[in-house]
Amino acid sequence: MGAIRRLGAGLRRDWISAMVVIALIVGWEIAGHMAPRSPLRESPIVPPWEFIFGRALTGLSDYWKIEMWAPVPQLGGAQTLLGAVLALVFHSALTLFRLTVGLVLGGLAGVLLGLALSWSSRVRKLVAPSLHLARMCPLLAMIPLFQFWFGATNWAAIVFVAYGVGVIYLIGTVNAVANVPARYIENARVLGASRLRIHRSIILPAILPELFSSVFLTLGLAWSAVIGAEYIGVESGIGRMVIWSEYFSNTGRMALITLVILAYAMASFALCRKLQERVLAWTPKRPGA
Amino acid sequence: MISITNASCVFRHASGREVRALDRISSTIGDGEFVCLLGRSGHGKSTLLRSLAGLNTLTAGEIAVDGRPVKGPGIDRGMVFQEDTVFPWMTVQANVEFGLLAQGIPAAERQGVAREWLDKVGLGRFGDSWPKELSGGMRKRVAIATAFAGGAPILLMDEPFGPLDYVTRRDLQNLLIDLWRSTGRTIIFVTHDIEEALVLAERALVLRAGRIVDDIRVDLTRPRDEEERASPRGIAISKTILGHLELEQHTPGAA
Amino acid sequence: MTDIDATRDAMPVADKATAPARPSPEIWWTLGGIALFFIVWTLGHLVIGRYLPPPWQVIAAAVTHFFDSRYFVGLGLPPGGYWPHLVSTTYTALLGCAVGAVIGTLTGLGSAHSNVIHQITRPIVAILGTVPILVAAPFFLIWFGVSENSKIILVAFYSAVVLHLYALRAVEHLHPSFAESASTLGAGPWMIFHRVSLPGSVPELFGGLRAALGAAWGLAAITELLGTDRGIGRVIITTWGVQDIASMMGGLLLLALIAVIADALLMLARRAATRWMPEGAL
Repeated sequence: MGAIRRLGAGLRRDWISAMVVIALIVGWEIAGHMAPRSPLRESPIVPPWEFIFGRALTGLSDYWKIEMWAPVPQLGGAQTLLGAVLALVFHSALTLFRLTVGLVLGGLAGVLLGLALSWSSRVRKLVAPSLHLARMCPLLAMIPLFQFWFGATNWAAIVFVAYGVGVIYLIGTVNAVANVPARYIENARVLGASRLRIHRSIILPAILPELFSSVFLTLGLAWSAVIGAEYIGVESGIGRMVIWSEYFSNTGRMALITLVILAYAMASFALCRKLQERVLAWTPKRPGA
Repeated sequence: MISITNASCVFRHASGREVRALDRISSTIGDGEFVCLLGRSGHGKSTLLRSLAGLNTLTAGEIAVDGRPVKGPGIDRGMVFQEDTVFPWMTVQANVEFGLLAQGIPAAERQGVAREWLDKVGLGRFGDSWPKELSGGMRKRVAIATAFAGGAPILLMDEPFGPLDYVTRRDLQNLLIDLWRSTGRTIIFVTHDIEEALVLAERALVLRAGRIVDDIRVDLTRPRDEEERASPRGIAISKTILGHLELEQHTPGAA
Repeated sequence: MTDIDATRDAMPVADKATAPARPSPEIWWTLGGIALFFIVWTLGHLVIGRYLPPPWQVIAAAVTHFFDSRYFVGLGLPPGGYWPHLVSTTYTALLGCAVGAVIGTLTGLGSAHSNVIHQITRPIVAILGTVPILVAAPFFLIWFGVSENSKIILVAFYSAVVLHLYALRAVEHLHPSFAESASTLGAGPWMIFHRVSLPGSVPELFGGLRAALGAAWGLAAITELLGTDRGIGRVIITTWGVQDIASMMGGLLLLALIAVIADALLMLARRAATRWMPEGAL
């Protein structure tokens, strides 16, 4: 009951937003029926909703290639809803795995390397041009390079995501350390703290809030990186499903997978926000932050 | 003339608790008066001033200027804020010209008027400077010049000298008195500082819990220097105001 | 008016004249850093071998195939070396970014001022801002063809979302008393928008522009990787196909170089546009 009432209150307040969402959904359907008829039955220019959740959904079973649980259309089996769901789950799991492992590895490597490079201000100045180049070199254009080094494998995708995320954390860490007020460090030095002790007890806690502010940025980046890696080369994952659909201009399947990716991305952002609230609860708020 | 009739303003907090910031206030302020609104923070003086400016809507009652009810900000009322509102992205000259620009006055006239007011506040040479190149006190001078140059016969000031150091504050108080005397405009000045009210005001309205609890004529002779403020009349006024401000009946334990 | 003369001496205006005439030691650190980059790269080549060609090979590839290359034509690329592709990608990134930036700035500032615009744009931005924008690339390639339009529209969509969010935040960060002050001086909504909100948002808008432009190169390149007729991404994917890693990295290096130059120019523009900002505020 409470949830319904809250929804009602939200709708009363944000009815314009709700109307916009409905207009988008209805507008897409109308566009689907108005658009010029495509010569191919499987590739309407704008696939209407009933097509997306009908033919396109069952069509996804084309991407189920294991001779178990559901028939494999590639070997002459029928297209089944079960096969479609299995294909979606299988490839989603692969993508989410690459995303998560890449994020964690990249985050850890970036922060540790950043702390190491911040050991002295001279080292920091010396690596600054390389870091600038790493940041400016367009990540998505580097996909072929990673495929060349690591092959079209799971690892290529993971390392690529980790690289993209790592560069952000590396630069974030170096900048955050440079921004730690000098008086904290001077105070600790006056009190006789060693360099390692200063790094552990002062610099690390001081840069944490700033590092957390990169979380959303890197999450969006990691999604782009993993989808991009699956677009170019890696022969599995939900991004690769988009490309398979595109080969035969199966717009309905493309739209369906796009919606699924949208749902995953929204869920991951929501999860991340929850996590951040939890973690930042004990972090002291910086003035002005 | 400003007439305030039964002005009330109720704010509702997010928690649902209602706060009565203004409680059926009535008063009139004549043309050319210098009125200080005195009170502790949270007792309605800023709300009253913002209502006069039209930045705040009353929940009941009315404020009228020369018989016309206040419905929103207007060029008949200028304001100097407590915050630093000098636009940092405009030169000092452009800041002072802003009100005239908003009124659609041609460029040549605008420049002339703005230069004149910059001279009057002692910043004649700083027209082309960026606000960041000025000290806090100088930026307050720019804000005062901007408000006066806009031409409003009524000027509302919300603790404008609050964050300044003592000497700068005294300088600006003297400047404001000079400008008031030479232009004859009405000034309504919010402060929590009794001494500032004694230096500036012709009349002090004391607010407590959203009501006007006293209306004091500050009939000291000018200049209001240390001796004048320490005269028996000055001390009497101070005591009266202080009595209104501080001596609330606080009985620990009584609900 | 005695305090005026006293404060004048303490003003930072005087600092303008004291710019150093000789190169500061900072430049040596930067040069040393660039040298370090190439040294590490060379060492990497010595360890890894042919999978990481040394810098001189990559630079040689970038130079020899820059304007005209029979080799590229042999690979099926249009005549003319890296150059026409660089121009195409740069054109795409800059135009897409500019179009998106204008749209995003207007909708962002608009939503900060009007609840109706805010409510209309919010669900759209929520969708476009969360979904990795490149999932839309195949759609654009079908709808708008394998031409520059697809790339430009993709970049424009992304830039619009970024600038929208930055503009919205910029107005939120702007103290409300600026707008109030303007309204007591007689400024109407339009004047507050264009004399207060817009100039006050400029520093943050440049931040958004920098983020959008930085991503624009990659977005343009990946659309080219997926299949368009020209662009540096096309060169990268073609040379990748024949395992010519030096030419591929050459293309990447040139693209990065353009991105660095564009970023530096943007920062120069920011400095010129925000001369009024107090030092150290950004």
